[in-house]
Amino acid sequence: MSLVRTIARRSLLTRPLRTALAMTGIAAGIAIVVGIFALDHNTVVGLASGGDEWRADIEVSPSVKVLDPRADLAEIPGVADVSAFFQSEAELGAVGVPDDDARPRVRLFALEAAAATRIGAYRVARGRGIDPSALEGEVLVGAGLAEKAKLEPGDRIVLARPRRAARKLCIEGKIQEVSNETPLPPRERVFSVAGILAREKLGRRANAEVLIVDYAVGRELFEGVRVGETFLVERDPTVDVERLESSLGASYSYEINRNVIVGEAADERAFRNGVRFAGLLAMILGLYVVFHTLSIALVERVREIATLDALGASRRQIAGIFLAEALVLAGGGTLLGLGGGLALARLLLLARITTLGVGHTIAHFVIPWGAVLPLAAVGGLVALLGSVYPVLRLGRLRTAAVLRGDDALVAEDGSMKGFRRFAALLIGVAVPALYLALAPAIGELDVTLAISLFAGGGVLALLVGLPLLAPEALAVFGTALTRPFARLFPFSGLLARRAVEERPGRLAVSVVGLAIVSAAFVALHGMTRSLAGEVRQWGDESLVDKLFITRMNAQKWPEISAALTALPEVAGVEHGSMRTYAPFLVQGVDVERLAPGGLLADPELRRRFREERGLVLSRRIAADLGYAVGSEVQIRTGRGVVESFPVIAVSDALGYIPHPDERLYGLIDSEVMRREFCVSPASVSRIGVQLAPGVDPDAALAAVRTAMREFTPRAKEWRFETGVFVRDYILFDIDRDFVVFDIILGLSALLAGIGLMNGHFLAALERTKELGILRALGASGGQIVGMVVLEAIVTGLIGGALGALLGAAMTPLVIEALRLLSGLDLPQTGVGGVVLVVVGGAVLLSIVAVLFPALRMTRIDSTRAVRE
Amino acid sequence: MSPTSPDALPLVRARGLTRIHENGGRSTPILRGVDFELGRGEFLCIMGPSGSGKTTLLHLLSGLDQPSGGELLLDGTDLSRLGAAERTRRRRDLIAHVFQFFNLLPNLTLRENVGLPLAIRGEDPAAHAGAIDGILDRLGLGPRQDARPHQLSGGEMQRASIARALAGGQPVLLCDEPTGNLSQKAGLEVMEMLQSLRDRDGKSVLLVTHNPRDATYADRVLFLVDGRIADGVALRGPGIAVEDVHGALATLAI
Repeated sequence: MSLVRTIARRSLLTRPLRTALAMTGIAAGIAIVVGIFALDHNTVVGLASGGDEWRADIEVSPSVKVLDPRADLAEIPGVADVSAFFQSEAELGAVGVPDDDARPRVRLFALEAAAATRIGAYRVARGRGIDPSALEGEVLVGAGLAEKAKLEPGDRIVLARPRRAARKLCIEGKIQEVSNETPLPPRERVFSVAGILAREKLGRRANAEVLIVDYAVGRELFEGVRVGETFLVERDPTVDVERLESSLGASYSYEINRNVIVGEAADERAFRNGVRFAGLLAMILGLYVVFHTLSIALVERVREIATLDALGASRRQIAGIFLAEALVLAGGGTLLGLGGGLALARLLLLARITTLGVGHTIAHFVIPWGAVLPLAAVGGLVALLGSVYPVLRLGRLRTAAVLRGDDALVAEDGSMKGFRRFAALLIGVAVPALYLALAPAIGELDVTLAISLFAGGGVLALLVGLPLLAPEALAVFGTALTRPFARLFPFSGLLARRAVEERPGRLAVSVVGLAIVSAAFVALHGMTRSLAGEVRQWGDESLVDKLFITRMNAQKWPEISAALTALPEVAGVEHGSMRTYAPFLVQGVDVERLAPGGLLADPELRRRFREERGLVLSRRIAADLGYAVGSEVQIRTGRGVVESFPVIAVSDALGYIPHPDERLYGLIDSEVMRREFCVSPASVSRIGVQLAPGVDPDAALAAVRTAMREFTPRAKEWRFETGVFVRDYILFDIDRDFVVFDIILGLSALLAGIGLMNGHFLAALERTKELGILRALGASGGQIVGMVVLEAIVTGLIGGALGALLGAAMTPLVIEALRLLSGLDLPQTGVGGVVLVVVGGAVLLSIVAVLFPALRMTRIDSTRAVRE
Repeated sequence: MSPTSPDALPLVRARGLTRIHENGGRSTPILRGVDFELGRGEFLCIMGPSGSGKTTLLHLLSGLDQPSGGELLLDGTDLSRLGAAERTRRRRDLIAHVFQFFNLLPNLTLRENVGLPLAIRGEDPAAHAGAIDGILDRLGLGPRQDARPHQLSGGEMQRASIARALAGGQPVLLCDEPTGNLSQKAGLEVMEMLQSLRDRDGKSVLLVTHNPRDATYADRVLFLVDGRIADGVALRGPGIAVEDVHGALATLAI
């Protein structure tokens, strides 16, 4: 058996607890990070999954003022690729057979062949793709159509534009069929079938009975026929979707494929970035546990190296031993972490907990190797470096001094100090830097955000680095804290004080572990408090003085609105069933039925709302898309053309009825809605009720419910909610969605507990002689436990207080970073009384973690300890 | 044996050996010009009070530490001229240690600790199982071979340390207060074993101690005082009596 294998194996097996705890530290840190990224990936992929249906990232229709849409679009930040596109119906015939008016009509897509391949609009199952330069036009045929018409690659067909191109348009509030005034002369062309489409993406549209031709050929075929000019835009994911929408909104009507921007909306980015930040903290904490273990074992390891050196082992051999051991620890921990993290993600998904809130069902689970492997590798690599640290200092090891049993020299020669410096550098600087490089924040990074992140990172580095680099500073606090206890418990107090004074390094690493969790807890609480504050602010403006009636069977608006406004509790009513998409939701408002006063009470605003097709935008949509009063929003109207609608106000005061928690919306006059989009106000199935000033919402709810039951017996099936209830439910929902953070923090706290337990187990080994002497001198087991618990209380107090302090310092930075990342108007609400809870929790965690090691310390063989 | 034969040369020869510790800009001379020789198969004892430089001298001999001046020949090679790697190689091949604090690796069994020098040399200890069995039996450790160091008594640990030195097969054995941590009985057993290593195995033994009784096992006793070998008070065996040692120590006022 080789030297390396024997010693490394023995070292791992004969200290199973140390091995297990070190491996657990690595594994848990990595598992949390891997879990988070696997969960996030599956959340986004799962929520984005729209089956096999293919849609471009964005479909854009230019307004008439854009002269060269393609060139204009290419200049817009966030646009990666542009290609022209249209779809229409075409008549399919056989070559040589005259047109007999009985040719079947099939769906035809005209795409730019090269772009279609780039953006993956379809897949060719048999044959090949279209060659746009072919002399005879080429066509791809859907599998269903190929079966039906018995077409194979190489066959030739005739395609003709329809004789009459009729379209249904909304003209002055009425749907009308519009056709060309004079029928077009038939135009047909022979096409060669280049390939048969697979039944997916565009190839499965219209029951796979589709045809795809090159855009230029299609245009030629449909010359003179009015087909909408549309562009398929491929999005550049590095640009925030709001910035892209804001740029597009100025001159285009557009429809975004929501599947490609799952998790990229402002609030979603904020949430996911928060989860990632929590992951970074967990990884740092996990590595802290490892370094904690290793730092305590350093003296023992240095002695081992000295013995091997004295026995003539070469540096290569010694390095080999440590490397082998480190590889097992780091490799094993990494593999366990990887497996554990994936299992954690799977379990969370099964419990319907995602990185975009709770309650989403995600059936499939895929492993994002590209994301999780590098992160796991970083964790493993750092642990590996920590494990081989003693070898890195081999050249400066004073073997002779160590062999004399002078452990103090290990510290004196800088091993311990060097190790802490090394740990601070790796954990406080290298790990966050690598983490951010591998898993950058979701969203664009501007200077202010970079400064916020840098400041947050600086606080973190300070938190991690300072206690490691200057543990004596913590010892001063520790000593002061033990003093009052020393008066109550002279023996335990004295010894705890000595332990704190003489081993400040050990205190420091334990303190930092607790401080990281405490700081994360405080910062997270501060963040949720701020988010809740923002919702509360919005709710107070747009929800609390309202009732909502939903799940109604269709009712006639004039009658029901009259019945409601007749009630003394009711000041006005809002129609909730007039909606269109523009490309955000637009709600029609019946101004006549609104409560007196309020936003639209201003006569000029009211006039513009009604006569100039004015839009009132919610604050969130205006902020996200960069609209302000005076902006023009491009909306494709029922006439099929893109027209400008001016923004006349930005306010949340009116709310949005169909989904009261909707924050991204615009409001338009109901008459404009009817005229431009043919959306009728006649019938309604959702109503918002504005309450008269000073009315109690619950009493009003009862009155409205009674009145509605008198209005129609079917009102028993309707749902009545107060705005206060809706607001409180949203606030509850925010807390519920944050359960994923609670889980991460819970696991992190467990990790910190493992670190503390590990530290105390190793301290028990290190202090065998000291404890043995104490027992020999008559110290009771209870006194030993008391001493350790006292140390734990001091550790918990300092760790909790330091964490709370730094958490409170980090909170404004975290909120500012999230504000910039998400675009939410997050208030700085402070951290509140959570700091006290955190300090108490840290003390409790610390005590629980040391109880078992403390009991073990009481079982030390004092006779042997004294003899050695 | 010709006078120029390598075997005729002493295994260890020190001339004007000095060692000065630099500590925070302060120089502390530990050895101030030590001259001595250790012959092949000789049992040499160096005595001296605490702080006289005995352990430092051993560390210089084993190449764990480097002299500040003078010449130190190990089997004809000046250790002070060698790099760290070569010093390690010479130590591995020529020097075995018996420490006061045993320095057995706590994670290994007694048998594995004994086989350690072979493993360090790249040999499989299992291939030398017979030899290791013999050594363990000879030192009375056979029944304890699977025990870990913390399960052994002090005497057993030191015997394990001697067994390790024996298994390595190096010609020089440096012993640093080998009985300092043992009971009287265990100490006697250890000294008898060291003597048998010289007698039966032809090892050169250099013992540093301040135990007069241990010194009586040596062929020659030198006294190290204030970093120098004291002139004119060396004792020469065989049959050095413990009273002679006490007398010499009294002469030197140690």
